[in-house]
Amino acid sequence: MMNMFLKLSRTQYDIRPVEIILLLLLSLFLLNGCDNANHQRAQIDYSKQHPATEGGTLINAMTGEPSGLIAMTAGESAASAIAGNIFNSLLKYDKNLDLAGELAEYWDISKDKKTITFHLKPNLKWADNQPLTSEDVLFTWQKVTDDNTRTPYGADYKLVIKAETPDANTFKITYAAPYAPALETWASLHILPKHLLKDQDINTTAFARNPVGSHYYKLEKWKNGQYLTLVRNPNSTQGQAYIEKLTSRIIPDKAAQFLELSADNIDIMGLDSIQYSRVLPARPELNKNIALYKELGNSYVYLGFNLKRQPFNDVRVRQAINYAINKQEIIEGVLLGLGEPVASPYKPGTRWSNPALSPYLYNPDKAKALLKEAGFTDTNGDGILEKDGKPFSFEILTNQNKEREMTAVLMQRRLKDVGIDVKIRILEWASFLGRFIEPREFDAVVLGWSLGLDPDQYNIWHSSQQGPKQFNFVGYNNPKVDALLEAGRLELDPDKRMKIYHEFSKILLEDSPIVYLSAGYGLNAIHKRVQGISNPAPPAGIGHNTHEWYIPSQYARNELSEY
Amino acid sequence: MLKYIIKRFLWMIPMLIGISLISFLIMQLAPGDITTTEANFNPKASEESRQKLRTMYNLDKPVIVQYGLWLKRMATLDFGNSFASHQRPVFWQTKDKDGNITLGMIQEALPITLLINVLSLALIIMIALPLGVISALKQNQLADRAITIFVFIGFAIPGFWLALMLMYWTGVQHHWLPISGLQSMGSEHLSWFAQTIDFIKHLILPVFISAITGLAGISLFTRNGMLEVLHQDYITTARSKGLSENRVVYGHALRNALLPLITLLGLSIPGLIGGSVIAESIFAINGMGKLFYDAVLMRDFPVIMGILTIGALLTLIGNLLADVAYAWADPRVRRGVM
Repeated sequence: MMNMFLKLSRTQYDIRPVEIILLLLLSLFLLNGCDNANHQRAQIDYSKQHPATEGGTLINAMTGEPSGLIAMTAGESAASAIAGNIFNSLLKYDKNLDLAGELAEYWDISKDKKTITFHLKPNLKWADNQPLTSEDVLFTWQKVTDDNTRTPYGADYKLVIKAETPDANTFKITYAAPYAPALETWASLHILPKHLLKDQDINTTAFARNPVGSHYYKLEKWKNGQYLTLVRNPNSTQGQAYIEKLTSRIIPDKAAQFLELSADNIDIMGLDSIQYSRVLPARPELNKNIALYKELGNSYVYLGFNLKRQPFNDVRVRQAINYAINKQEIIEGVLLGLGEPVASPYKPGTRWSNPALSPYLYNPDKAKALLKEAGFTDTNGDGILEKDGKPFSFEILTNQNKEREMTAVLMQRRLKDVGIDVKIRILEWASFLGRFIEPREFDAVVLGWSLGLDPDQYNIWHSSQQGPKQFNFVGYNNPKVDALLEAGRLELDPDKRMKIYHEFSKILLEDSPIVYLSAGYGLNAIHKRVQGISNPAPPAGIGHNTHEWYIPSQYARNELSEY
Repeated sequence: MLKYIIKRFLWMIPMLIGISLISFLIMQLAPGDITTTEANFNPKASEESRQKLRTMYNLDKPVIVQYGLWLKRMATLDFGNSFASHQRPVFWQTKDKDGNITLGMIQEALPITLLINVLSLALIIMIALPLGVISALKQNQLADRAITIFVFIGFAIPGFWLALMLMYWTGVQHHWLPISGLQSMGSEHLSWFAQTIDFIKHLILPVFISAITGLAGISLFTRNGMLEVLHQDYITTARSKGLSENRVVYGHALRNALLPLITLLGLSIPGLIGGSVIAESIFAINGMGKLFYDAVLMRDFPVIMGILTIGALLTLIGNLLADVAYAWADPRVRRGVM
């Protein structure tokens, strides 16, 4: 029986040496592509600096396609990135992230701080030569607050109780109470042309795919699913940019983007930390043409506690965990060193970030001492601390995000060192929010906050914001912080506001309701043909002056790119 | 026969309603809706605004009422508008009062997916059939083994990896083929002929990748079908009549071996409209796979339901066609049916 089986298997599955050789040849053929570099293109030396010239095309890659170019109804980042080149707002943020006028030449705030009057620059025009006036601003405000407009961003604008246009260059708004974050909202609202939209349904209008704006560029061509091309707007309200055309190609896959960059078919792409610190440096032939830039991003990752649960309601326990976690290790291990530790919920280097604060340094002894003070001791000698007979064990939840998972694993090990047993659970985003965050069914989470440019963080930290779908889901409640957050909303003077938020950050750091883990860099690769880029990046990032970027004519690519 | 076909067609209606109801319920089981995914967890988006959106999209109504509303629209063949993509029509273009045409999402994604899938299916059949026949004729010889190993490598190799390697080799190193997309930048200035060549060049890799992974199924199916048929008595009869080996193999054996393949092809009809998310992402092709995947991530219910309904309809039609074709090709089945 056994013998027969063997015989059978021999005749059917015998592989001869010839076949093994064939297989090897095949795999060699497939792998051959990797090393055998064969460059047919003439090498251009891109290292020389040239004076600024007009013209040229800049091609970038985006992972997603905008759904439309009216930012208030589109919502996704791809839409605001492109629409930001087409539409103006009343205000803008300069390279240090301070407010400056864009369509507005200047603005006044009334004595009672409730009325803001914007004075528009004279002779503003839309790309179709129609005048841009305060009527357009009023129209845009009416649209964003209209109940029929499908936008999730209307709430801030609904605080305006009266909007007026005393003349064509003046737009005056009145709030029921002073509201300092108001200015930021006027830096993010793209002003839309009334003459083209007044009879249209803003939710479905074809204007969203064929917009007319007032900024540096106007839409030239939108090839669905493939690319969008913008061309300079001769009527630009902000002067002229150097680069003639901006093309955004839609390439969802980062690896494919990287190949397109290598083949010189795109000029800019965002990199991940591995591409930035491992892949590109290992390719000298690419380094000749590609420059790398890093900028501090607008977000941070944190470990947030459920402050309503034992033992996280004890500040000593939170501080102990903060001391027990090695943030530098997380930045090195997870972000490959491409990030910074933070000590406040504001971007380092901006006025709102308190320079006097520094993160909790890794100090396991201090952590152990604090835990002991809070009543935790290892009574049964198993390496895990106990209090009242119960071991200190909790669960960290996070969503499906490789970096956050790795961060959680690193923390798990460090917390084990001080005697805390940590379990990790990874969840899909929507169920994470619906089943754990909203009903507050968690011990601790690893999440990130994206930062707005206004320092107001009332929604996240004020004790009144703890409802099921509100954002103070950690349950933070400190009357001193509440008072500061309220004061910050009423104070329109930037310097006085700064003091308020510096104080707020200081209390927040002491209370440690969350452990700031890291703020990663935004990483970019840009072809060296593009010049005029600020390096190192100011707080607003390298993109703050794209209108001053230029492509010397010697370096411009041919109109029809070969592949 | 006609009566049979009509009967089958009428049966499709309750089937489709059942399938769509189940799809609708399963879709609702996933936590979250468009208001949690759009502007998700963004402190700038207030809860009141979200609630307003939920009311506008009828998401605050009970699931069964939502299904009823959807079914009512579908009865007039109105697939509705997307929640996410600036309210674009899900299926077919619409025209507003100023004459601006907004293309439907499926209308836009379907042709390219269909083209790539039809081309790759044709390529698969062209390559897999001869390979299968050769394998069967040279059973357990070198050629058979080499073919089997080759098709299994094609089957087992991760498509995205092979795609990236080929993109690197043909696109970055040699500039033979474009890397991604469907057209070169600026190709609209070229002549009609050059544009077509450009388009074909863009299709080569996606079609090849999608074909190479599908070879194994059909070639092994053909091989086994042939082997079975070659051992039948009527083949022995044919040989004993003194027919040439070619007549025996291609005239008698292959025709019979191909019968089960009809079912397989019928079943692959719905597959023709389903693109591969991974391949479409890598090649930056705006096809059905990506459309469906993005819609699911966004919880864009009208788009999800639109694609599922069309998929279900095509599956049912594919089954029917396979059955009819089978009856046409095989007299035994035909007699049973009629």
